[in-house]
Amino acid sequence: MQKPKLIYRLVFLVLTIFIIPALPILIIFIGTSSPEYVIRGTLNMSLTHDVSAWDLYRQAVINLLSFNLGVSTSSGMPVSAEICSGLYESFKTIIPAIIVSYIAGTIIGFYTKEKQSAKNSKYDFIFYIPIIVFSYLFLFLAAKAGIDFTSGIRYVFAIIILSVFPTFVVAKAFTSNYNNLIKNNYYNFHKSLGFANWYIFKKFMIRKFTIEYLSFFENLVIYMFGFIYFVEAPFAINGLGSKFVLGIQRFDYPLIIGFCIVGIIIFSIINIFVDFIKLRIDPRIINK
Amino acid sequence: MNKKYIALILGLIAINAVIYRLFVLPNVPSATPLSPPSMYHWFGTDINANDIFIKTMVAFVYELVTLLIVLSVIGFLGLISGLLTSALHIRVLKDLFMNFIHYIATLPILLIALFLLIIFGSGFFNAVIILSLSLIPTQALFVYNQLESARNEEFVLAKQSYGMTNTAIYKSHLLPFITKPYISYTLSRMPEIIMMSLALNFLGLGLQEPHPSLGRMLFDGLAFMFSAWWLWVFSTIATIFLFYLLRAFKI
Repeated sequence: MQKPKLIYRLVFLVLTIFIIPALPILIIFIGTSSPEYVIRGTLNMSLTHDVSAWDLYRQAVINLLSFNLGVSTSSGMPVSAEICSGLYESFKTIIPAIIVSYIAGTIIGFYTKEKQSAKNSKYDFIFYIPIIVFSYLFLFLAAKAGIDFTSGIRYVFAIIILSVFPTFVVAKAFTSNYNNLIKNNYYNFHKSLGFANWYIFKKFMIRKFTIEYLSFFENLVIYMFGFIYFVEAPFAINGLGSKFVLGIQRFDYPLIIGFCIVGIIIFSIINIFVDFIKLRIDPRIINK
Repeated sequence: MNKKYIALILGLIAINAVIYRLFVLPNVPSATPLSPPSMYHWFGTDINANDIFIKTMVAFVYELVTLLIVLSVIGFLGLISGLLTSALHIRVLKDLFMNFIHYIATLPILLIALFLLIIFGSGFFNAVIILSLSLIPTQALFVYNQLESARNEEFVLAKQSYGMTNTAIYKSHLLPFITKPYISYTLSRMPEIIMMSLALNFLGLGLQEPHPSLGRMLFDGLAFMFSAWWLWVFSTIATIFLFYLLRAFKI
């Protein structure tokens, strides 16, 4: 079941690459936007609207496949270079934030596993509040406390803010998985044989937890990338998020479209990669 | 908090806003830009001398309207598409369709929405339509999974053995069986919808001026973080309150 799923995903990824350039061309013919604007703005080509749709499409696909996303109209740099530098800067916060979320979530989940109330706490809504609120509060309080938030400490703030909701997700997953596992027969069987808790955990549960953690890994990455500008814009981190906000303010369409296209392709690849790992380690899939 | 109290608070806020609009604002001598909270402007004024209290209230209502429209659309269309997928008899088509939904569901919804908004143009209705379209696949996936697991239940097998048609089983048994979890799941997406709406407005791709939105107010407040705190503090409080409200209505 999983192998065809992987193949389907690869096929859809290839289709996405071919469909994305077709959308701007389609709207030229629907007539919702000016052809010049679409060609020069979103497709980032120096062609006139007299060119046939097929020529436009072919050129756009070739550009996309050769990672030629045009030149940013605000900075004058190639969009691919802008995206790479933005990714490098964003990874400084996203990768530590993912690690922090998993570690902190596991620790919190471990200590709250006994509390049934943790499932439906009335304070849960705090974790769903958009991270922009936390960013503003942190920024304001840091300034009031005399902390120089333009220094390297802004990355620490960004990591903490980005990992609030993911930590909650990991903690919830840990608690529910742990509670399910200790009800399992094999746990009770090994317990009755006198095995220590940590030994049973090490022997049987680590793989199970890894699979569970992997199942929402892509969602956490998507969440962090999706809302990164809520952190980068207030803390003036020159990553993808800040570039994106500036791009929208300055109508820098090549940069915005390039960011969206690269983002969609990167996430598709991450999904395929995660599925591939699951295919290798999940005994339920291996046995099938 | 009890839902009655929340309804009461909302009612009081609405009455307050009406009184403020009808009796306080007309008597204000002249609004000055960026004036702090005062007797006449409870939440202060923004750079264009607009009253922030009124702006916050209107933005709050806009968020609720967005939520209502998106929830209704994704609730209805998600159910229909999930049902249709589940009712498909051709295995290959079903696999293809399901894998497509799986693929779409794992893509970054916000990026897709942004991409489409840039292409089709920003605005409230475009944002609502694109937001709804990007959320439908996950809804359909949920309905499909629920139906597939429900189809193996004994009561369905029993009805099949009585000779009931598939349509009748879907209509009288499967649909009522999944209704409660489906409503619960749809309502649990409220924070996600609001978060995405805030994100789109923050980036200036959702509601356009002169209509206020919480996301845009937060963005405008960033430039005046320390010099005019009232520009962002009240919209932040409104956002937190909105999320608290959503929690209260979670089933």
